[in-house]
Amino acid sequence: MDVRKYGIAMRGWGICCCCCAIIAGQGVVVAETDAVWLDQVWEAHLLVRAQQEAGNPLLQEAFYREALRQESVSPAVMEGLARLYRAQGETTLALAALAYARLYELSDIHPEWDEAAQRQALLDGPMQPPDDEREAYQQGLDTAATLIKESRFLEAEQNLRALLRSHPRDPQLLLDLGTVYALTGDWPMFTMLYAGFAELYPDNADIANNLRFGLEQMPHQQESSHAITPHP
Amino acid sequence: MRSRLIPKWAFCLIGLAWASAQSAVLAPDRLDEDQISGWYLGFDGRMPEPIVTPFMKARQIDGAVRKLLDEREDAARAAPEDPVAQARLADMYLRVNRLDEAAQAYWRAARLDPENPDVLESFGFVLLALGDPENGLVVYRRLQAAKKDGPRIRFNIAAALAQLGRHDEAAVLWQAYLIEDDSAEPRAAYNLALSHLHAGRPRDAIRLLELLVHHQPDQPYFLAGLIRALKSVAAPAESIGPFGERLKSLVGSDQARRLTVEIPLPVFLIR
Repeated sequence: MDVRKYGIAMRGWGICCCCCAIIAGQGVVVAETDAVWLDQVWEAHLLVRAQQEAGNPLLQEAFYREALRQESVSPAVMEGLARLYRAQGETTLALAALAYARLYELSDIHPEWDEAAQRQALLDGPMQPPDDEREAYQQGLDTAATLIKESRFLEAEQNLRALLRSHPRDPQLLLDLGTVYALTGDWPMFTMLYAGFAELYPDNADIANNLRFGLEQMPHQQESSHAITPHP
Repeated sequence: MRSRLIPKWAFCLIGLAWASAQSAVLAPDRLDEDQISGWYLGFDGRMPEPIVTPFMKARQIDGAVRKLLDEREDAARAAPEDPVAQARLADMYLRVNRLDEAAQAYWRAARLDPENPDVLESFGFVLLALGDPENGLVVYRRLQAAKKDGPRIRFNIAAALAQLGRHDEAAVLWQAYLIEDDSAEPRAAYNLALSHLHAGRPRDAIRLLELLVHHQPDQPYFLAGLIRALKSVAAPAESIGPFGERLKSLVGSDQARRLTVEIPLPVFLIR
């Protein structure tokens, strides 16, 4: 499949480059002294808060995503996110969380569901909506595009994720959701999304390049980017 | 569709801000005059509303506080590498009980200035207030290791130990605190009584709680603790009854039941 026809590479790169310029220089300079233990405490605390909010998936995700922004990628965070997305019927994102964990060679993850079967089911499903859903789907896409243009990213993400539940391997949805994450500087989510995307479309060079680009936005996690095979 | 769905998803990008707004955490704090009166401690359960009423009210911040918060947010955004700006923002979040954001801002400040004991102590305090004794304890132990010890730090370490179920260790620290502190801090006495109660020493708990109730007959947590302690030694109903009636008159039946039966009684922290 040529995903380029959906504009993945062009939009992805264009937006990524803009965001890169905006976000550059906003990083926090960390004192040279030993702050590693503080990061460990903070990440552990975020996991505690996520567990405390087990009955509230919205809050849980907020804490997991905050933990995902930290310098190290913890198996507990990825497993928690995968379980959460799976429980909410967001199979694409659940698979993406596991794919992201694989990028970092995190092996101690037990999602308690058959990932391979889920991925196969997803791949066996239609790539695009059937004709009778086409109009509503297109409306949803148009709405999301408008919201992105108006910088209403929260709503755009909400719309796109709702659509993704029904059309879990739709490249346009994945692309647009990636755009939202890029525009908001949420590189861990951007990269996680493309990690899942790359497993669905393993031969697509544009997806691989966008994935690599996402990893490059997280310099503290550079050491793991060797896991990505760059495409020419 | 938009208005219905925004709140549900807003957290995705707002993150901890939304989390803070949702958390109804009891955060016993310093004895601020605008929050309490007289002998009352850091919270007030007299209203027939949630125990956290004063703190929920604190969230309804007035214009002046809002302005100050905005200024500090701007300052922290403008100088992300300035630990003072981050800490000042954290202080502000703490003041309005936005604890998750306070914790995050203290963490940022501490990363920038890991040797600053005040920032570390505040970070540890907020972690404890958020119900995370394990990580709060790590921070406080670091402070102790850096020779930044003191009664207040030991008090909150005891609170962390109590939250972790290590009541005997907590009791030792609170006893030491009470000996050290001339004012016979009632919060320490109440906390010590709870540790005695949990550690199977109800009579020691009763002795302390009776004294506390004598001095502060309208403090609902003292009353609730005493009622629990008396029940644990199967005290006759007529000796418990008056305390139960007083508690109900102060906080209402539902809240009284929660305090005496349903929820674990909180321990105080101090700042």
